Amino acid sequence: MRNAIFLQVKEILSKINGQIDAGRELTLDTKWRDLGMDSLQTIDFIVAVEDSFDFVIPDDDLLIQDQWMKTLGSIVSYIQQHIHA
Amino acid sequence: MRKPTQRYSDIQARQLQKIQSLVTYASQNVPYYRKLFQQPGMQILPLRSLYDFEMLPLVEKPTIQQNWHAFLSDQFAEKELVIRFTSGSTGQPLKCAHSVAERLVLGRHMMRARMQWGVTFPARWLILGGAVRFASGLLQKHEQTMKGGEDFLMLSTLELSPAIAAEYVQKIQQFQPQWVYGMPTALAQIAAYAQQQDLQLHIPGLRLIETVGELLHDNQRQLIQSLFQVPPANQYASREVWGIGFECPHGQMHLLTENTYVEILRLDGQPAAIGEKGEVVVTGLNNRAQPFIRYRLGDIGVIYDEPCPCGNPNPSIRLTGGRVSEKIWGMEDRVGTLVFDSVVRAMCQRGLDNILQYRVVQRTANRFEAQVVPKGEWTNAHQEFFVHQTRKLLREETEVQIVLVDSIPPLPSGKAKSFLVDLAQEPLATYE
Repeated sequence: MRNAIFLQVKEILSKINGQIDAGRELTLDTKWRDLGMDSLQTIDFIVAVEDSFDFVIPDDDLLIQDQWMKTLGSIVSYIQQHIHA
Repeated sequence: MRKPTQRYSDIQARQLQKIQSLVTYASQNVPYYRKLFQQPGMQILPLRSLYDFEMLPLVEKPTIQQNWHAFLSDQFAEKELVIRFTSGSTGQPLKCAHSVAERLVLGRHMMRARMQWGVTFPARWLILGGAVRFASGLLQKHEQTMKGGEDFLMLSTLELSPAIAAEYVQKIQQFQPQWVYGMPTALAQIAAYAQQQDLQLHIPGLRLIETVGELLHDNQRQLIQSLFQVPPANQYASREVWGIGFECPHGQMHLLTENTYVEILRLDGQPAAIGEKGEVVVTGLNNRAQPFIRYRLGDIGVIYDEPCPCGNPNPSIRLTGGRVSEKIWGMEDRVGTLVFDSVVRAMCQRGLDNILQYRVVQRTANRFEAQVVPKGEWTNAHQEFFVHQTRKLLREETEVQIVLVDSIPPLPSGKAKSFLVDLAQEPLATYE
């Protein structure tokens, strides 16, 4: 399950920013801030995650996004918790 | 007098939860509110109802301008915040602070509103505007910048003419946007010039023309649709709280109730009934770094609470009057509010943020009087930048007289306009 979510997250990232995995391998340890996503791309990412995994990220969770959007692994964990909620 | 329907009452109940959270947060972390809730008679936390909430004072832009740090949350270092300035259509630019996370929440609500028009993100996005970036020389007249230069095209509307409109139509046709974003005045002007030259666009993938910053008049709506073949959708937003309302494909501007709580107040300050006109007062439900609670936007509007065929359960708002741009006399390709808004915002971005309020009055084709209420000492640097920037956007020989004043009263109409044309002091023959 975790791996499937990770693959889908990578697919979303690649769709939003075609350059994102150029010259590097994205792993669960990859830090969000190292991806170089601008604010619009980050919003695109959030909306795409909501639509792909069919849940709504509460505003309160987005206000503390730095706590669960630290790495791709922490994002995958967040998604995993919410699609099972 | 009509009361809210059960549907709207349910929405308000959900909004109350967010208001409770916001006000509690503000009472703990924002100096202005911390002090407020220590005053006699203000031991009303936690709020139990919207009636409790209405005990909080209305907040006006000058109050925040003059006590800026008192409205900032202690939980954020100023350097962590994203600072932007409101447009100066009322002549009072305000420094707005948002955290990075807040911008995601506010942006997500706007994106969702856009998606009801069929926009899918990431979208090919055309902006007709970007005044500050163009005015400050950061961008050239037109530029593709973002996301590898393929998904984003920005075209300046600081100067529009039949030739520029023709050039833009060609570029837009080539770019094939899915989403167009711009001020009604500029979009309608381009459309009018295109119509004069019998130019047309064919953009099968275009889903949304989002108009911003002004009322969208019927004649503008028709002009814009005639060029783009898609009806424009007006949004109602502010730089303070972002999304307030967004027009649906059935022409209703639905409130974005997850993002903003809107009150309509009568002249006596009492809540207006559904369908009754009054002053728009907003509360940003997701603002934390600089909360805007019961904030007077200066607009006049009416809330309607009727089912809409689009299925959006939120009530709608209709704005009446206000926020209209004025063209510069003798330079009809320039919009005065836009030009001087760009001048003032460029000053702010340059670290010369010293204008509490301003109004520019055009006295002759080439002479402008800028009435300025300064925040602090007005130096040569402020003077020179204002004049230099104005000449850069208008003509090198433009005369700018800056008059420092203590206050700028609203016009007889009640509007606080930042630009107006008053040629009464000069004989008309001067311009012929």
